[in-house]
Amino acid sequence: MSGTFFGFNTALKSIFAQQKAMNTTSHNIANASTPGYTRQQAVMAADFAFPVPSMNRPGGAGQVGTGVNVVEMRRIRDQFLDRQIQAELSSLGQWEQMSETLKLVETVFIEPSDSGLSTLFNEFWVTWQELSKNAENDAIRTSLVETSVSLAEAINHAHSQLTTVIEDLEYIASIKAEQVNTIAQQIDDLNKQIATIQLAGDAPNDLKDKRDLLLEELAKLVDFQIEETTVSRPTGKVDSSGNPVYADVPDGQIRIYLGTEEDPEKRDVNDYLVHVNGTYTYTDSSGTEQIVEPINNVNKIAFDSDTDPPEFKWVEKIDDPAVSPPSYVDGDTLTVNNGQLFGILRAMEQVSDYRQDLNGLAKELADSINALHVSGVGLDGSTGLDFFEYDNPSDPADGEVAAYLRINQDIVDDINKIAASSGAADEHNGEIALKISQLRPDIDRQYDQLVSRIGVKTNEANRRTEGQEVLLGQLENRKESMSGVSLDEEMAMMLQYQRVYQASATMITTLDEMVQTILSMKR
Amino acid sequence: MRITNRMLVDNVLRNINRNLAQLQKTQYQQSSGKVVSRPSDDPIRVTQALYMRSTLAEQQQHIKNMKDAKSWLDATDTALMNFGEIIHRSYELAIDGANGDLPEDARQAIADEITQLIDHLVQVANTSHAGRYIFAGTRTADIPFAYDDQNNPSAVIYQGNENDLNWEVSPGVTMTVNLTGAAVFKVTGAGNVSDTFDVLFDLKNALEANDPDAIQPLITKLQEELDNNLSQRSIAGAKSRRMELAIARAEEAEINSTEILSNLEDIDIAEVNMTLSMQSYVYQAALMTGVKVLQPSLIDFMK
Repeated sequence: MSGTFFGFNTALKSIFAQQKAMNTTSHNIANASTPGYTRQQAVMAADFAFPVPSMNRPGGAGQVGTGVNVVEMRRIRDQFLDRQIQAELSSLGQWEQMSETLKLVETVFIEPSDSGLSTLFNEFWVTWQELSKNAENDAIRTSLVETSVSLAEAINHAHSQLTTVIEDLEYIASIKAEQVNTIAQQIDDLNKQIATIQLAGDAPNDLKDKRDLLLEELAKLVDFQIEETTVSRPTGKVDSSGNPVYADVPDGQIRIYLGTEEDPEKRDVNDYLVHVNGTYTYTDSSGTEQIVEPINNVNKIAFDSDTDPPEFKWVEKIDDPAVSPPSYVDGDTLTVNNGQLFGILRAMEQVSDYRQDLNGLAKELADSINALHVSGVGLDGSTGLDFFEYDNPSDPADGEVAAYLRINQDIVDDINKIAASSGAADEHNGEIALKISQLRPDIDRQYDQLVSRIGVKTNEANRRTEGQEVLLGQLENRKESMSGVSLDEEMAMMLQYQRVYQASATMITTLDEMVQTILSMKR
Repeated sequence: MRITNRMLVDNVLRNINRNLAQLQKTQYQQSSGKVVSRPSDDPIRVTQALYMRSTLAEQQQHIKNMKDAKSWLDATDTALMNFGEIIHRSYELAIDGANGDLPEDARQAIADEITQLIDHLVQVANTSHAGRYIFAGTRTADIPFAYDDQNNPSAVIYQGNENDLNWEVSPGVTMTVNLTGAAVFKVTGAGNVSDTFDVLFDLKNALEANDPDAIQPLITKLQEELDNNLSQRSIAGAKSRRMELAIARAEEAEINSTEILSNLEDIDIAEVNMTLSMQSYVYQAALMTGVKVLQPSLIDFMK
């Protein structure tokens, strides 16, 4: 037999539960367009039934339920999908960075066009041909000097544009490294808050949303691995020898390892960005066991452009007794394998390669023309002169030929010194000019190949970026399908909660009427 | 699959964006008239276009070279023709002068005309084309033929050389465009006297000396000069003819290259227009569906 007021409590608990669910619905709707928000669900479960089995349980058939409770505020999220999205975001970051940089490089070699380097090369060769027919013609000599100066300046300009691209990348790299550090700090802060709430038995859903959003930002920058940590807690039991029994409880915190192996066994414990330790023990040098309390550490990274090739490095490492032996040295190289940081390193390498190719082209052009030119004779009988010069006046061995390519000043000052012919000074056979103009196929082919290489790489980066975007779109769709707020669904749920709330209230009224009936029996 | 409002919005935005990007690309093609405008648009096509561009520029240069060569050869031919006329006239005069019945006065008059002809022939030998002496070998800037003594000439000295002017007429192929003064006017080498002129001077001297017997062998020599002139003219003529044919052939090749380049670089206007209107159609459809899909929700039907 249950008591007279038994039903009141059941209905009241239902009213509370519906209210809580209604508040969750409201929270969901309010955050329908919040980035990174995960829909929440007030998970209801029937409360224990009455009576419970016991010696003096009341008689009668069966148990009667005692209503409903909200047992959990659940965050509807698929962590596996999160990891996938993070991995793909890293690839997107890498290819986006490549694509952006290479698009800049492409503007240096904008072909086919009527104003690109290929057009200047054309004019250059054609003028040599003209000179080969009219070796003593002043107008053609002047035009050759002009054309050559334009060509050399265009090559200088291309070189300086490529250098600017590299310098910009270095600047971006240091900013991105700083972003990584900021995100790490924020994640560490969230870690601590989450652990406090989770260990108290609550669900820090919204904080975890924030942290997941930060992880996505981080994923775009650099590849990383995550490890969820546990903390050792007394269970309240003791073992046979009377010692308290501890158990590992998840505390909701995460460790982040940068650019490392998926297999935890292979991970380098020194390569953590955000480090969380539960309580753990280690044996010190004297052989005694030491217990280390939980500590949180954030390490920092920075970009170093002075090394060759440039790289990211660990800086401001915290000496962490958790890592035994603690072997960090500031300035250790950080190996990144994906993300924008990796994209920057790759793009830098690529652009320096192109700059090297341009240097090679300029050197080939200058050397092969010079080799012929020194054997020729100018109108004034001068011979043995170089046509092009390219040494850096302050550092002749630096190899940056394209940056310093210029016409021999003696020739610019006196066009008679162009050695177009072979033989004596008064012979105008144009033989040298003809031989120089015949260098054309070699140089043209080298330039075409450079343009083609840049085109192929840029094309690949663009395609990969687009592909990653499509792939991510699909993954985001799947994530949204699971975790996103559907207004229709929330409205339907709202109606449901409202109706249950109304019914529960009616229940109380009815029960009240029943009590009235009992009371009125006395009259 | 659970569909949320955000998914709809995201999908509509993404698709509209993609349509717009395609539309923009096609529009750029239409307005620039070019299929490719940067290397990454189609790296292979761009490389081919670059190659065709330099091939075309080379072809155009070779056509220009051949036309220049032809006009040089035509100038040479004209000079040789004048040369031939002078020799021919000298030959006639020599026959006249060899006639033993001719009075001395008449011989003197013929000698005067020969002097004039020698003067004329020096001018012809010093013919210049576009500022260059065509019979000077490679010493094209210096006058090639000069009297040994300006006031009392007895010979003409060649100051040019025996070297060739070689011009490129197709990739790696050169042609000698000049006939050297040495070959045309029979000089054994630079700085020596011209045998051709010597014959004329001998004729003049024989006439002035009133010696018909000495004129007789000179007639034979003049005949040889005429033969030499003819063979030189036929060389120049054959080269000029060769240029004419080669120019016609090269111009055909140029048209061909231009067409290939155009196929590589230029848009097919009809095709691009079709694509453009199709894409703008798709874009409008995407906008329309977007409006239709995003608008309604359960709220519209509550109460």
